[in-house]
Parts: sequence; structure tokens; C-alpha cells
Amino acid sequence: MPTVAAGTVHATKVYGEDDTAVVALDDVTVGFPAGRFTAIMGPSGSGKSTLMHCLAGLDSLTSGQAFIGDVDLGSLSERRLTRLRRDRVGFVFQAFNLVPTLTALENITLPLALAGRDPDRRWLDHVVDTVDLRPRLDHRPAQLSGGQQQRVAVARALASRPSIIFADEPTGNLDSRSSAEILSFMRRAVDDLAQTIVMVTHDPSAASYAHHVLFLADGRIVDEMPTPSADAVLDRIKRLDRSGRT
Amino acid sequence: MLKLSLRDLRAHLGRYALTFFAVAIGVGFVAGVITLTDTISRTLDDLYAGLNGGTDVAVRGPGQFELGPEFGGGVQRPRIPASLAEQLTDLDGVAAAEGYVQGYARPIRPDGEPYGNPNFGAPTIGTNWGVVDELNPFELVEGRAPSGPDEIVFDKRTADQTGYRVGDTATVQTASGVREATLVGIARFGSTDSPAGAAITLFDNATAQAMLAMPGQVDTIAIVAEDGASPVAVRDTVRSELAGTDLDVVTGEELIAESQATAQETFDGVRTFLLVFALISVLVGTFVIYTSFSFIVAQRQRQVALLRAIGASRAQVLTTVVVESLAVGVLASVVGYVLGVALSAGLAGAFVPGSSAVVEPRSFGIALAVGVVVTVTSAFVPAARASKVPPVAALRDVAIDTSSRSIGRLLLGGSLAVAGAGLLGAGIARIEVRDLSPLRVSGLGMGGLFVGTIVLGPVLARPASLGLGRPLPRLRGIVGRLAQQNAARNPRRTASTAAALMIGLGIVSLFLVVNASLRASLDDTVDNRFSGDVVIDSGTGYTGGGLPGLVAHEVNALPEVDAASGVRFGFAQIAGRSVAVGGVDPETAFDLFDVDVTAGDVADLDHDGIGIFGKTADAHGWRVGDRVTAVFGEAGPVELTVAVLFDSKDLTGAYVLGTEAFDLNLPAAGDMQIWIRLAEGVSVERAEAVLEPLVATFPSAEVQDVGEFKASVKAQYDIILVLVNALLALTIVIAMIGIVNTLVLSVVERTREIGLTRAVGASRGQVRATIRWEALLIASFGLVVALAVGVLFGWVLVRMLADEGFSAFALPVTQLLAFTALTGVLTLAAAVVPAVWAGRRRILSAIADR
Ligand SMILES: Nc1ncnc2c1ncn2[C@@H]1O[C@H](COP(=O)(O)OP(=O)(O)OP(=O)(O)O)[C@@H](O)[C@H]1O
Ligand SMILES: [Mg+2]
Repeated sequence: MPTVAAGTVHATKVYGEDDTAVVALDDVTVGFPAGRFTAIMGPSGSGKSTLMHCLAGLDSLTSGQAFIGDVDLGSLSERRLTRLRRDRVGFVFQAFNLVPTLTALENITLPLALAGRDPDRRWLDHVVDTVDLRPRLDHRPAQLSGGQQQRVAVARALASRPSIIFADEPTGNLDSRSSAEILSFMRRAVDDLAQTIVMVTHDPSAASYAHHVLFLADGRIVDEMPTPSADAVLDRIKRLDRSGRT
Repeated sequence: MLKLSLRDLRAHLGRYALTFFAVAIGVGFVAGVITLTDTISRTLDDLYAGLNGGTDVAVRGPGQFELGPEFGGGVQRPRIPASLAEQLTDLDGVAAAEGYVQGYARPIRPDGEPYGNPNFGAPTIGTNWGVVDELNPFELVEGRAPSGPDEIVFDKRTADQTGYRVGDTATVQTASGVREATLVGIARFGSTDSPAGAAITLFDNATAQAMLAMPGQVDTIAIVAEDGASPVAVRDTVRSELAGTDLDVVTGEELIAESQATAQETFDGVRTFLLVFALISVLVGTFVIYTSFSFIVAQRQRQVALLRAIGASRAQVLTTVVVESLAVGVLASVVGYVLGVALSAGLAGAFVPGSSAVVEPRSFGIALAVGVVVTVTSAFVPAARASKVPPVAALRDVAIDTSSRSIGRLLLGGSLAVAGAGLLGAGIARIEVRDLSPLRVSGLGMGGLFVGTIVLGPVLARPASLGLGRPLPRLRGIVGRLAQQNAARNPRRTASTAAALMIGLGIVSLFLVVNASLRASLDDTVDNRFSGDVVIDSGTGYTGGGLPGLVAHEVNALPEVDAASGVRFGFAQIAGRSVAVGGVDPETAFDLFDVDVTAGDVADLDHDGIGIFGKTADAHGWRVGDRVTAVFGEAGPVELTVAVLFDSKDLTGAYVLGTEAFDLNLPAAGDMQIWIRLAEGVSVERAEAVLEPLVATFPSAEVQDVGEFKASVKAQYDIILVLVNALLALTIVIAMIGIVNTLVLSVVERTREIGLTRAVGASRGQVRATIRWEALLIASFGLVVALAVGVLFGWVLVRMLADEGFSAFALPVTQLLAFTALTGVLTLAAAVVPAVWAGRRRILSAIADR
């Protein structure tokens, strides 16, 4: 059995109080195996983003535990949590991933620079070549296309060789060609560079790049599917939708 | 959406709070200055009304010339015989007449130290205790009236402050010497302990004349009309009685109005000086307000565009912004007004004891108008500009602002700066433009250059931030790099924040340079133009009579002394201008003072010889041997012969008389200083030992070596420097509020970005450091320009005023460094709250809501 890169145990997240309380995560216990590309799917509002944020130490759970490796995030101080995010977690958001005043290269090395570490040159070259950004390194985000910006974001996530990368709808704003580029690149990062990636997506064809898909509904994991194909995922979503409605 | 607007409202409150402070401080300053000056001005009016309240008609000497306000103003007149009073008492309608005389009289405290300061603060005046009750503005609260040469009365304030009690023997220094007398009474002036805080010594009539003027001479004969006789009728009677003399007869009302007008004219300078500083702080506040509203407008526009209510929204943005700015302007003005008035009431009490604040409706009107106009205009300009931007552009991400490099701005700022530099050069080259003197030409040039620089600010801000921030990435890594980029990304905001600093700090550094140069010039003059070792300073200032001529004679006669000359000053009108005239001993002065005599013979400085500064003589076409008319207060018009021309007027002024001519025409003045060169081999200590006894009876006089003398003069410059810096402190506070404001706005604007950097691993400390460095960069942009302006303008001023006492330029390096460090510390202090706040922003609030 592969080691678990991140996971939760009885994780519950409730927003608000009393009347307005929203249960975003409802007793979720899940593990994300290292060296795998996992997709999370589910209807809007099902708690996907919340799960990722709590796993990444950007938000805290109401009850239960979240782990990166074997570190319980709930036990960490703000300072240690920041350091953990910087050194062991990578992020790709749907949009606004980059600091507009920094060049592509500076954005890629931002977490390393914040840590005061010099980038591993060979690894950096490798990452930059893989995302095919070399001619664009001196450009600012405003001079890059949406797809290029997301590639920079992925490169940033990879540059510090984190133990896990979280991507929340990384291709949500992109056309299908750019999406395909990003996704196949992410898959290569997992297969060739032994990365661990957890990705939220609404797009069944995006999910098909993953090794594994989890389905979330109403804050609970309701299903999972190994080696998904787009058609099978679509099929499963439709089924879940139907059962949700009855 | 609700969350969005709620968050916005909170942010707005904070934003308005700072705008509010900036407006309130500026308005408070204006309101405070108006109230303070109104109060002082009312006190002056009351003073003259009180002093002359009982006078129905006054007789005085003929007006000789009007003294310029820089010398205290007023018409200079000769004294008149006191005996005139008896002649006039017999006239129809005259109930009583009595002579009044005024002069310098400084009480000496029981410990031997002189009371009051004639250079700064309320005057020390001696006058006579009028026998005619209606004419005497003083009222005894203790003891009795003075009678005979050995009795005096003090005002109550002076008695309280010095600790003298009725029955004590008190010492008073006057122009004619020092006198010990018994304090026989203590008097109040109307409802106050002392008129405007002045120290008043009252003598009986004969003693006052002898001590303060000459026996038998008075300044004015005050007349009380009989019951039922109108002052105008009595004035006319007196006039016809005195027809054939050149005496001036006016009613009491005319006299009061005239003295009030003179006092107000002199005070106008102070009023203008204070108002200028108040307006500077308002101007600085304008930049803060402008920054806030530019931001609010941009945000609102984005929201409106988001809501797709595009068609109707342009006017809407304008209206809401104007309404909000109006509300902020009115509220802040009211608060500022109340604070300003409260503060100035306290200050007025300190400046003029016993005064109560004068709060006129006018001051409220002005304060409100200033506050509202400044706020609404500063809000309207960005709103109007924004309304021209297409909504799509408003939806753009927080991009780098490029609008700051408009051609119009470049042209306007560039041409102002170039024209300014041109005028500055012309001024330095002593070229007159139209009718303006070179000094004014260079002043205009400074104004143009400075305004041009501020207009160009947004163009300069980006390169300046990047340039000044160049070492930052190396020093502070990514934090420095982010700060550098952040300071550069919104040039308009960086520029207006820095401009607020440029103004305040620029003026401070200009004053520091001028102050240092003034000191250096003093050193230069005393060290290079005076060949002696010791100075006796009378300690009486310009107005105080100085040391009697006898002292200088005694000093000269000492074997320890090689040469000595008194230097005294008086006023005259020459070629239509009122001027200060120096008096020196021609036998020694030109040996002691190296004034660069270029023509004539100093021996000709006899009873009608005059020495004139070469450039002044050139301007009037005077040469040695020419006749020049000088009008003196006492002596009237006198023809003098130009005896000497000289090239340095730093020690003696532009016009110099020999002792003989001086005493003939300005008999009342004594020596302000005695400058001494010791005989060979005599130590300063030994000289002090023999000189001290000569001035032992003049408590305010001090024997000083040149070092001590220079230090005591410099101490007077310090007071001005402290005053100016205190006035500018408020301006700098406002500029610092501007920095807080700008940082808060930047944090609001970059919430997402800060969240992002935090998400990828920036610590709170790193976020805080980024904000701090950004603040320092913005401040250093302001500071660099301020220092450049201060040093350049200071240098120009010193050059232009080379003949007015600025013989040397000095760069106060230590002070400027200290001032730079202080600015840095203040900036860091200003950055604390925004930085902490930025560090505490929730990371998710950045990522969510998108
Ligand atoms: N800060 C918050 N305060 C209150 N409720 C929240 C907050 N953030 C999320 N929620 C609620 O929690 C639930 C889960 O939200 P979450 O963002 O995790 O959903 P999601 O699966 O990512 O949806 P989507 O696919 O639309 O991104 C939703 O009902 C949402 O309304
Ligand atoms: Mg989501």
C-alpha cells in the first residue's frame, strides 16, 4: 500500500452558527496516496474547495483532523503552518495565481525566495522546460495568456518539490486545448517526477487525467472511481445526480 | 454581494477616518491661527484703547517719517516740551493737560537677572504715573503713587513674577542707566494685571522724563476736555493756539485709531506668517484627501461596472462621491474648528496673559469653506476623471497605472520646472525681470521649479521608486523586490503621498540650510571681519537704549585694551526708505572692523559725515563728497556728506555715522555692543576681570569672548528655528497620515495578492516587512526631493542674500542626517498599523469571493 501524502480523519467543517450554519464537510475521512493524481468532483457547494483549504492549512476544521504526511495541521502554530505551506505544499488556483508585479520566473521561484532558499537549478530548468515557458520567463502575468499563466502557476507549485500539490479547478478558465496541455503536464509530473497532486474539477474529461476520482456531495464522500475515463465519470455523475434528486 | 459591500463599508470607514483627520488637522490649524491672531489683534486694540481711553485731545511732535513695519512701524516724531501742558490747561474747554513719556525700562529681579526678554516676548516699558486721574490707565491695587526720584510702581504681573513687594528696594535699568528705587505701589491695567503682558515701570513725571527721555521733555501732551466740550472743538482750539508751531494735534479717537492701525500693520506680518503655515498644512492634507478619493472612486467604479448598471452610473459615481466628500468635509471642518479654537484659546493665554479667545463667526465661515472646498475638490477631480474612463477599462484587474504619464502633465510640469529653473538662473545672475528684483525673480523660479516637480511627481514616481529601491532585492530578497515593485506600481498614489512629504520636509530642510548658513555667516563675519577678542553685549536688544557712551570711553582708556568701539543703532529715513543707521567710533572702528573701505577717509566721519555701503551708494548714484538728506525722528531732516564707501555691511549696516553725528541726531541710543581688541599679551580672563566692573551696574550687560558672543547670537536663531519646526510638525503629521492612508489603501487593493503570497508561504512578518519597505521607499522619494529642494533653494537664497548677512553657505550635514533618520523612524511608525493589519488579513478572504 502506498504511503498517504495527505488526508483527513472525521473532518467536519461548519460555517456560521445556528440558523445560518452550513455544514461544508460532514465527517470526512479520506487519504490521498503519495505519487498519485487524484481528482475530486461533485456538485457546486458540495465542499470540494473547503476540503482542499483545510487540507492545505489555509482554513481550520471545526472538528476532526487534517494531515500533511504525518503532521496534524491542527497542532501547528500560525508560523509553523506557514512554513509547512511554503515547504511542503504547492497550490494552483482557478485564477489570480500570480503576483502581477513579478515576472514569470520570479513567480515560479516565489515560495523558494520566501524561504530564502536558492532554487535547485537543474530541477528548475527541468520544470521550466516541461511547462514550455523558457521564452516567457521575463514576462509579467499581464503579458501572458490565461493558459500560460496557469502553466506558470503549476511550475511554481512544482518548483519547490512539495510533498503535495492542491489544484482547485486549475483549468476552469481555459479552453480545451490549454486545459489538455496543463492536465497532461500535471499527469506527467506525477508519473515522471513522482509528484502527488489533488485536483478539484467539474470537467469529466479533466478528471480522466487522474489516477483516481473521488465524488463529494453535501460534504461527504459518496463514491470513488479508479482509472477513470471521461465517459465513465460523466455516467457516474449523472447517476449521482439522479440519486441526489430522489 | 452583501458581504462585499459590508466589507467595503468597513474599509471605507477606515479610509474616511484618515481623510477626516487630514482635513480636521488642516482646518484646525487654520481656525486656530485665525482665532489666535484675532485674539492678539483684539488685545492690541484694547491695549491702545485702554492706554489712551481718557485722552480727548493729544498734542505731539511733527511726524518726521514712517518707520517700516520690519522695524516696528509708527511715525517717528521728536519729543516736545512738557511745559506745554500748563499753557494748554488754560485754554477754553480744556479741563486738564499732562505730558506723557515712554521709554525702555527693564526691571531687574532680586537675584540680579534682568526680567523679560526685549528680543522675544512682551516689551519692558517705563512711563510716568499721570497725576490727572482721567488720563492714567493704571489703577493702584496696593500702596500709593510714586513721588520723587526714588520711588516706582510696577504692574501687578511684574511684581508677582519678580517677587518684589511694596516697600522693597527694586532695580530698574533704563537707557540712562540703572536706578535703585523703592517699590511704593502695585497697579493693574483695566481688568488685567498688565497691558498685554508687558513689564511696566511707573515713575513720577519728572523722574520719567529724566530717566526715559530728557528732563522737561515728553512724547505727548494728553488733554481732558471739560464736561460738555466736544473733543473736536477742543482739538481745533488747541490747533489755533499752536498755529505757527509744527506740532500735531489730534483727538483721542484719532490717536487710538492711529496707534491701533500701526500695531495691526506690524502684527499683519505675524498673521501672514502663521496663515502661510496653516495653508501649507491644508495643502499637504489635500494630497491625502485626493489619494483617498481616487481610490474610493476606482473601487466604486469597478463595482458599478460589475453590476452592469453602466448607462446611468457615470453621473451616479460623481454624485455619490461628491455627497460623501461633502459630508466628510463638513464634519471634519466642524471638528477641526472646535479643536483649533480650543487650542488657540490656550495658546493665546500663554502668549498674552489675561486675554480671552476671540471667536468670530467669520473664522467659522473661513474654516468651513477651506475644509469643504479642499475636500470636495480633491474628491471631484478623480471622480470626474474616472467618469471618462470606459467601464470595461474599470473592470481591468489591479493593473499598473499608466494614466499618470499623460502628455498634458509632462508638458505642464516640464514647462513649469524649466521656466522655474530659468528664472532661478536669472535671479542668480542678478537679472531683473520686468520690475522684479533678482531676489524675487529667483523666488518665483523656486516656486515654479517646486510646483513643476510636484506636477511631474507621478511621472517621476515609478523611476524613482525603482531606482531608490534598486538595492532592496539584494538586501532583503523577495520582500525587497515586492516592496520596490509595489511602490512603483501606482505612481500617482506614490507621488501624491510623497508630495505631501516633499512640502513639509522641503521647507524644514530649507530652514535647516538657511539656519546653518546664518550661523556660518556669523562665524565668518566675527572671525574674519573683527580683529578683536572680546565683546560687551548690552543685552538690551535694538529697542533698549544700550550702554551709555561713557562705558566705551572707559573701556578704551584701559591699559589692557588696545582698541574698542561701541556699535549703536537708530532709525532714519534716507532716500524715502526707513533704514537702520549704525553708529561707531571712527577712530577705532575701522581698525577693529574690516569693512573694506573702498573710497573716502574715515576721519571725515565727523558731525555731518556718513559712511555708506558701496552697492547702496551705487544704486543711488552717491559718491564721496555728495550730500545726502537723512530724516531723523528727533532731529528731523539733516544734510550729511558721504565720507566713506565700504563693501561689507555685516557688522555695521548699510549706513554708518561717527559717534559725533550719531549723538547729534539720535541722542537717545546707547551702544548695543562694545567690540574690543585687547593689548598684546593680555589674556581674555584678565580682560574680563577689568571689564566686568565697568558694566557691573548694567545687569543685562555681559562681557563675552568672541566664542560666547557668537553662541549667544546663535541662541536667538534657535528660537526661530524651533518655532518654524513646531509649525511644520503638524504638516509632517498630516504627511504621515498620508502614508498610513496610502498603505491602508494598498493593502485593501492587494488583499488577493497578499492572500496569495501568504498561501504560497509568506509569513506574516514577511508581509509586514513588504509594507514597511514600501513605506520607506515612498518616504525616501519625498525625502530625496525635499532634501534636493531644501539644499538647492537654500544655496540660492544664501547667494541672493549675500549682502544681507549671508556671507557663507553651510550644509548642516549632521542635522540633515538626523532629520532623515527621524523621517525614517516616523515612516516606520506610520507603517506599523497598516503592516500588522496586512499580516492579519485572512488568507482565504483573498482566494474566496472570486
Ligand atoms: N466562508 C464561508 N462562509 C460560509 N459558508 C461558506 C464559506 N465558504 C463556503 N461556504 C459554504 O460551504 C459549502 C461548501 O463550499 P465549497 O466552496 O467548499 O464548495 P465547492 O464544492 O468548492 O463549490 P464550487 O464547485 O462551487 O466551487 C457551500 O454551501 C458554501 O456556501
Ligand atoms: Mg470551489
